[in-house]
Amino acid sequence: MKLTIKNISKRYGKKQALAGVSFEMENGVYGLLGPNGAGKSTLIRILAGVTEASSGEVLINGKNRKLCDLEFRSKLGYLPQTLSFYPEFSGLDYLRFVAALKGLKGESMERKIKSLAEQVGLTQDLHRKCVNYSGGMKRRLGIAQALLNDPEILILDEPTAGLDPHERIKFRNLVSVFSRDRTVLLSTHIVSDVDSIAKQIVMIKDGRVGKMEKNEYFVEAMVGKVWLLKMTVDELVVYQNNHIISNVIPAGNHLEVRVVSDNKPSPDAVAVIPTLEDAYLYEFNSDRRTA
Amino acid sequence: MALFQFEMKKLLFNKSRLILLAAMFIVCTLSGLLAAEGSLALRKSVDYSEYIRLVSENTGKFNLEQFAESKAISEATEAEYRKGSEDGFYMYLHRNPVLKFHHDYTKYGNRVHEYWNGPAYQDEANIMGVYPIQAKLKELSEKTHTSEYKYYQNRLATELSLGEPVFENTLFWDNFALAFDPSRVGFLLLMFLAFIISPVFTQEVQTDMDSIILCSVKGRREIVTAKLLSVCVTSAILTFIYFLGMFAGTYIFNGNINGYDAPARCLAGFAWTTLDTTIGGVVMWGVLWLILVAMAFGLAVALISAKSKNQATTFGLGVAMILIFSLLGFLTDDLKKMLGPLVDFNYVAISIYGSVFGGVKAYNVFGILVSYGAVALVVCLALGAVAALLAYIAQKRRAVV
Repeated sequence: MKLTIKNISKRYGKKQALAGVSFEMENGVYGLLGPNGAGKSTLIRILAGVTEASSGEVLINGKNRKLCDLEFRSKLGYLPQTLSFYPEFSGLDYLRFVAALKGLKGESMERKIKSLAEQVGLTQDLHRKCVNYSGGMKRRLGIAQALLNDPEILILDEPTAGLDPHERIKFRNLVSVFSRDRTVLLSTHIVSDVDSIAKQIVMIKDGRVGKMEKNEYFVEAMVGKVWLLKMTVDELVVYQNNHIISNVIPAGNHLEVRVVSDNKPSPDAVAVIPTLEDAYLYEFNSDRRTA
Repeated sequence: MALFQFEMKKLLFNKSRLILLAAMFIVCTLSGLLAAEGSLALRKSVDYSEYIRLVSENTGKFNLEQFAESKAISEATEAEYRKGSEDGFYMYLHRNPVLKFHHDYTKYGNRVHEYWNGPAYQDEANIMGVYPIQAKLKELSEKTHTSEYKYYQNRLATELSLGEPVFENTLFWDNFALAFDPSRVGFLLLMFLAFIISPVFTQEVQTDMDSIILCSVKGRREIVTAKLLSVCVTSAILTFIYFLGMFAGTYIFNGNINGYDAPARCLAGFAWTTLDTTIGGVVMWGVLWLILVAMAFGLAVALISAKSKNQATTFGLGVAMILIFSLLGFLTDDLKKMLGPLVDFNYVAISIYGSVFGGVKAYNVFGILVSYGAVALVVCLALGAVAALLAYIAQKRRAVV
């Protein structure tokens, strides 16, 4: 299924939340990376059809989404950024309710719920009230509801918020397996969520998106822009005010500081292999790129 | 069906709501006890057996001699004791059952007089009483084709078929009829209903479920059907509990339900009803009528819930609606005329069963005189249908911000 976002803009009063966003997606995992307030959730909501764009259109296989709205909704799985639950519902009630919303019923629905509960590790807790779940369990329940209808398009807004490292890895594997022959858009500000599984990444900042590329593209573009240098704690305090620091490791009586910069920040700085995280920091800290 | 079951669970069938329902039942039972307070005093009185004897001896057709005796005693009692508050005099009568019988029989005798001769102050637009109607028909004898003539012809036929009022012991039902009192309906039923119904749509905003619902296959239309259906069922259940509580409270102090098979016109407030049924029948229709009104009101609250973002606002607007409509009844006649149908056909006005079906009020609808009850029924259905339709439109246009 081909999903085309064509010149989407959104205004909230005087605030321009999105400005002429355009890109295409077709099978595989796509990462939407951007800091908080960049417009990720607004774009995601427009794609999911729960918010109207001020202008532009979303095309499904070349057809305007509004013309095939019901068909689109039947193929969509969506996990919003925030999700709380009905106080009177157990995890099982909640999944059954969402399944009913998605038009599932009978034995196949029960099988699907059981299978997803196993996949997200909630089998033992399905009969507990979901308001009593931990943050991670709530998120996993949210992921399970998004997958109930075997969606062809899966839209996940900050899916790993609240998950511990083990759950995060499990989630990544789940999405990776799921994404075969399907389109997954994963919005996050956590680079490691998309680093290993995203087929392509699009970065969003102040409501505008950059070029959609493979993560290798962003990493390669950073060659010669990531440096390692040694300094003291006092020097770091001053240094970090006007440089992009991507990592700090204590090494004896000094610190090994990883700096992202267009220019060699100091004569003794050593160029190192860049990562997607470096590219992310570079992209969103344009005012501090030059040493 | 599955969605409806889940909506019922969210709206009513959960622990906190069931506790609220139990509380509502208790409050209604207490209200029923208060309504039957006089009956308890009557039953405790040493002369109660004498009261029962007098009532059973005089049950049935009008007795002119008894009326003359009762009237004399009643007038003397009123002259002596009706100097303080109405409530005080009411309780005095209940502590003196024999006097109460004479008072009741006098009222009954006056009703018989009004049945034939009409009330002392006639509304020229709607004549009452067998003789005045006959006189009116004579006056209209040149215009037998007019709707007015046909209306009075039907009215006369109804009056004659219902016949002269009879005297019955309807103590329990007179107490229970207070369940149809507008203040009780407004504050014990409609206000409670507004509270229970108000989160029907707003809870989706508060739980962030709106996004998931709106992007699902059944999230724009079927979910609204399920919600509106759950609102109607909840309204019906709450109305039923309201009456059950009132019934229980009234029964505790009365100890019997005598008079259920007496003609409807024996019931206080229904002296002019055109419903050809028994007291049991008129009460049953009353319960059904109030369920219908509660559903229409519940749908209106659901519509507010669909358009607002939080439960408090929805509940506040629901309560404001009840208060404003209740106050309309106290306006001057000139202001009432200005406001037109809003006065007689708002949710509170149509919830007053005795006023809608207990009299002979009629409206000129496109040249045809139609009874208040018939017009109120159409208005009630229309209000419900419009609210439901607007709720569908609101959900279709709903967006998450």
